[in-house]
Amino acid sequence: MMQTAVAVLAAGFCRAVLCTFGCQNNPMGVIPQLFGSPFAIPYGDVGAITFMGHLARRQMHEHGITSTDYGHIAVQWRKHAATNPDAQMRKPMTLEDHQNSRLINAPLHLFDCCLFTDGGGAFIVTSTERARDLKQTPALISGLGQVHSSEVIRPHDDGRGGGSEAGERVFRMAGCRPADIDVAQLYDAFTPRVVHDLVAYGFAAWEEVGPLAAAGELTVGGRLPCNTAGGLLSEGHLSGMGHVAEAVRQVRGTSRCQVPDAELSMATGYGGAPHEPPPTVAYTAAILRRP
Amino acid sequence: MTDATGLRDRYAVVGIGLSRFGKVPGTSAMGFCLESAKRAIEDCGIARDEIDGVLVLMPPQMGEQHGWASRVAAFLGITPAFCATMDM
Repeated sequence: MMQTAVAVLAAGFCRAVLCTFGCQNNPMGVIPQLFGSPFAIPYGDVGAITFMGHLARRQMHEHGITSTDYGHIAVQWRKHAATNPDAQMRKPMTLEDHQNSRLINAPLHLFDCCLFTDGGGAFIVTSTERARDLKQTPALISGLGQVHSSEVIRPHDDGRGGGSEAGERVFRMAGCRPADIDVAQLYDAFTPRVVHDLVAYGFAAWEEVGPLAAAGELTVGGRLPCNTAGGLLSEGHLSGMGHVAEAVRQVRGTSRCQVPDAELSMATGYGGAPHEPPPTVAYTAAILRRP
Repeated sequence: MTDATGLRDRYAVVGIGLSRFGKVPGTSAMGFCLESAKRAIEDCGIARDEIDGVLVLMPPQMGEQHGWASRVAAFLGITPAFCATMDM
């Protein structure tokens, strides 16, 4: 969406673009459209949670990721949410709470899953030149990248998992490396997605992810502070609008969980229709920079 | 190889806005779009009529609806030069 806004501005079609999103879950129901392929539905393989269960199993089988690794991520995000008065889930959570939460779809526990959120978000994009006269410190859009793939049926084999091309594109455009990023808002609809993004975008190797999460390296003061407003897991799921807002706050220096002197702030997105034939997924990433 | 480096840092996110969120009965998806859009406009202080492009992300729960972005613009009282409704 941010990439489309920049493309429209760069083409000269517009001067300022408003991007917005809104969602009301009721009375439409929890899963209003029971999406799923005719080949998967008979086995109960319906929706995002079962799909992410497969992803988690694969991470565990191929890379030794454990449920405890996922738990450390969920617990860390919850600590961040405690600093955010708007977050949906602010109650302190321990690793034990995570492990004891009920299985939703093995190996995923309740606290591996994001929230249902009624609400909306918006952001406005304009030229850096025009931004100088506006009220806030602008978050310069340094890099943008996305990739759309059918990796569900055609496994991605570069060792980093799907989405790595979006990473190559975003870092190439921004002219920086993963190690330069000061703070990241990773798309965390389910904890395995965080593990995936840390590897796919080049922040860590598979075997490093668990130890990083356990050692508190994913918070302020650590190697890569992530999801500093609580993420989709604890703040709420506004389809990434919360991630954009928090990535911008970090650049402005106004986050409630501020990374000191944050200059490069990244946000990732993920989506698609993995249960509609042909199954596809999309990865998106943006790098914002303090002027 | 494509090259977008020429666009690096030329555009910026200037305003952000989140509506009330959580379990919030009584407000429609459209209502949340408008509430957050107004907050983003106030956040940066841009004149509403300076906004001439509107992009709206549709939640999957909405299915396919015609002209969603144009309707958001109409409710905000602006007449954009470019509108698009997106699905992700």
